[in-house]
Amino acid sequence: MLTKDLLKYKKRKGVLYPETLDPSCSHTHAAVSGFVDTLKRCQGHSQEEVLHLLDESAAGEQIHWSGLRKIALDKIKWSNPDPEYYQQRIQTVLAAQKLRCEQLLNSLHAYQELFAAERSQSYATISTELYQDLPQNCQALEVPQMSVEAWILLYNFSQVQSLLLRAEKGNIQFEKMSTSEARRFIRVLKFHRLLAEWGAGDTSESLHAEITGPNAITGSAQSYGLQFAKLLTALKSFTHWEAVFTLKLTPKGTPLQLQLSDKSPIGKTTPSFTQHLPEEHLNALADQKGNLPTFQSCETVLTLSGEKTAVPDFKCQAETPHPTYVEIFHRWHRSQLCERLTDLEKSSQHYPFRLLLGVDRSILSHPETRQALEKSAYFQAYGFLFRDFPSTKIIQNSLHKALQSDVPQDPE
Amino acid sequence: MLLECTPARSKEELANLAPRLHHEMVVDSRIRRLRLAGMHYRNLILNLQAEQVPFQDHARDYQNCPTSLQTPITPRPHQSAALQKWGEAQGKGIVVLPTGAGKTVLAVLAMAKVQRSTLIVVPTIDLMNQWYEVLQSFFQVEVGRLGGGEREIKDFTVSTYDSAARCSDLLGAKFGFLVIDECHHLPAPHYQTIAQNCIAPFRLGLTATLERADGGEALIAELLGEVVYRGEIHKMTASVLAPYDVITIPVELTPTEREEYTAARERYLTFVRTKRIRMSAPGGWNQFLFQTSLTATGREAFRAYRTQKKLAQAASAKLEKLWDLLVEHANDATIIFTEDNTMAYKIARTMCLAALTHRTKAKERKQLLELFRAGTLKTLVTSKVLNEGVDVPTARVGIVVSGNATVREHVQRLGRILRHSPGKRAVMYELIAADTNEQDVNQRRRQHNAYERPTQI
Repeated sequence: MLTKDLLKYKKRKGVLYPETLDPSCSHTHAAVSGFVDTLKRCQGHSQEEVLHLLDESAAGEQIHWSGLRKIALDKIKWSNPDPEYYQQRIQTVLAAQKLRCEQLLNSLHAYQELFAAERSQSYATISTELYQDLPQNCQALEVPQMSVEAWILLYNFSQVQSLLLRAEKGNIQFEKMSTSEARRFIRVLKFHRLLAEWGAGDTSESLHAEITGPNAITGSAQSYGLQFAKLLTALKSFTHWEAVFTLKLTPKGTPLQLQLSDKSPIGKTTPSFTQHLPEEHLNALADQKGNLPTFQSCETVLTLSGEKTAVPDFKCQAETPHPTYVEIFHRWHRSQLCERLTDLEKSSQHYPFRLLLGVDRSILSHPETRQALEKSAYFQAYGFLFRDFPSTKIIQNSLHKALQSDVPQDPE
Repeated sequence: MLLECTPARSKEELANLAPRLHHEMVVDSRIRRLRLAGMHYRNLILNLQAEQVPFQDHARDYQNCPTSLQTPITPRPHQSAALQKWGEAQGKGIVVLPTGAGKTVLAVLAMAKVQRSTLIVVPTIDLMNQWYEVLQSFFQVEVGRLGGGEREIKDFTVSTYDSAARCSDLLGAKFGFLVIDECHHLPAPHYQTIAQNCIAPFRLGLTATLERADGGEALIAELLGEVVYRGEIHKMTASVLAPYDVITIPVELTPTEREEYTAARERYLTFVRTKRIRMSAPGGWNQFLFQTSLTATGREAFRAYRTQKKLAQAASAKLEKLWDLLVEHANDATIIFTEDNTMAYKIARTMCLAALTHRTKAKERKQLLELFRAGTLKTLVTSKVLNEGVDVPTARVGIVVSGNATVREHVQRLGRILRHSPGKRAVMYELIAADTNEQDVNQRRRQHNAYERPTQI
């Protein structure tokens, strides 16, 4: 999470400068290298010990360790304590209480010894085990194996993202942008569900977008802010852009500006924006309790008849005779939907995969497309409708229905 | 939420109709309409009605709830007085009553009076569950919960502050009555949105400690209405609250602790004097933080500040004295309060006690409180989570091992043991490291009428 540990900046004449780490500075490099070495030694240690080790190695350093430490804590894979462990603790506490009330020992030490003898354990062991399920006692199972450069980039990137959580608005100017890039950018805005207005810039090749920031909306500002901050990841995959974000660090503070461009030294920590599984799908799939099929994001390119291709959004994770994919059609995909429908009606039985079609209800406002969908036997069997954004449940139910219909009929 | 005037009115026209709302109206170019926070709904409607302006109300999404109390309540005199004052203030305002004086029952009475769908906002999950049970028993209707993994919206819904703030855009139009329990939390920037986005014309704020160091009570009044009734703790003792004693017990630092304490305090004070920082002045603490972040000496001074504070708060003699008190009150329900989780878990480990902190998971927390209320579990160690609201009527003894200087925290902690029951006399012990800054802290938090007759050993 982007907490205050990752909020270090300087202000000068109304402009904000995130205090990023300079990858070319030998001192910074050596200090972060020390941090990475310490982190490697943390495997198997408890969270409390990890924090202690990191704090020890940071002693005397000038760079901002709290931010690096926060990222490390988020990235380490920790052991999961038994959720029912507390039952054991309550029994121990009640047993100790019984002894305390019966014996009324004046010495704490005598009480500890007596209780230890009763449990046939040393008191030190009882004391250690009593709260071993607390997060600070969880073990580091896997520490991130990242280079010094990657840590610096991640730190710098997080610094900028933390500031974006406080943005009122962002103005992004693309100097040179092809039509396909413009479509990709608008898709990014749609995918992140950001409120934006965009239009042509000064020249025919330029594009300007004004995006509402989390500080300027009245509700769900936190989740909107995280989506807004994620925009930076996508922005880094574009070229020739400049952005000015207006921020307020406190509700009554003066508006400040954060200037970024494709040349800003904030690195690129994730691959280009080619695949994406929205957070609500990830959370819903992680929490799911039923037996519905799960899905993941995918980058597969499917070859269709006539050398055409399809790039599905999701892939079903259930074991099926043929791989099953889901392709999402938003309202700007109407013509592609018509093409895809025609093709699948004709040739789907020859394909070594099953392709489900998810269609935004707004496409139904076009009478011809609506008619085509209503008539299509393929869409009736392997299609579903959604409004604005498909929910996890709707995708899973459609996959379930499709998988059921693919089961061979019992000849009896 | 939309309120549509026919014909459409400009900002100036509406400003003339409702002059007090003029500065609150914003033209939102994104939707090409005038925008006004939900909290102004009542005033706007009253103004439009007074001026006989026709309008369509697409905003209101709440119902009248003709429910009646299934378990009759005979209000105590102070509850009747508070309810009457609140009614006279057009169903808006804050009631200040000490813990244990029946704020929940007062809200139930108000709900029965206004007969509107109601959102109750509380600071913790424990309190949410507590309110849920109270409302179910009094109204015998399905009650919704929002928070701690629950997400059910009903005509009567109890929510935590965090969940209500996160969902304020969804909840804003659904309730006609807003009850904010422990409303002194409301001025936090994130929490303000709960009251700002809510259109509820009826509002009730409940607290035992309204005053805030930052003067946030003015903002609470803006969001919920002015204070309509105030009951003082020292006037209610014995009749409404259990009689109580507050006993301060000074303990000595060991020679090693004293030596470390003196050295650390000297380093910290030298820095403060050199930089001419007045810690007691407004902004003094922020200046100290800023100065200590600038240089290595500053950072060393900050470490020294923390060391001396920690030494005083966690003096080893406190553990010995605490043990004596636990033996003395072996059969009394006792809550041990600490300033931080580290100390709470240290005590819990050393004496094999149950600790209840923000880290305690919901299931364990529920079971611990049930055991404590039933009298099966005699002692609970806690840092802050039991400071407020949670009803533990069995608690008779409170032991403050460490705390901060705020009056609010200590009045709230005292409130945990003051629930009235026949023959009960509560006692609050405060363990103070002698000749340390804890003495000053102790004096500062006593500036409340609850501490009018303390005892010192």
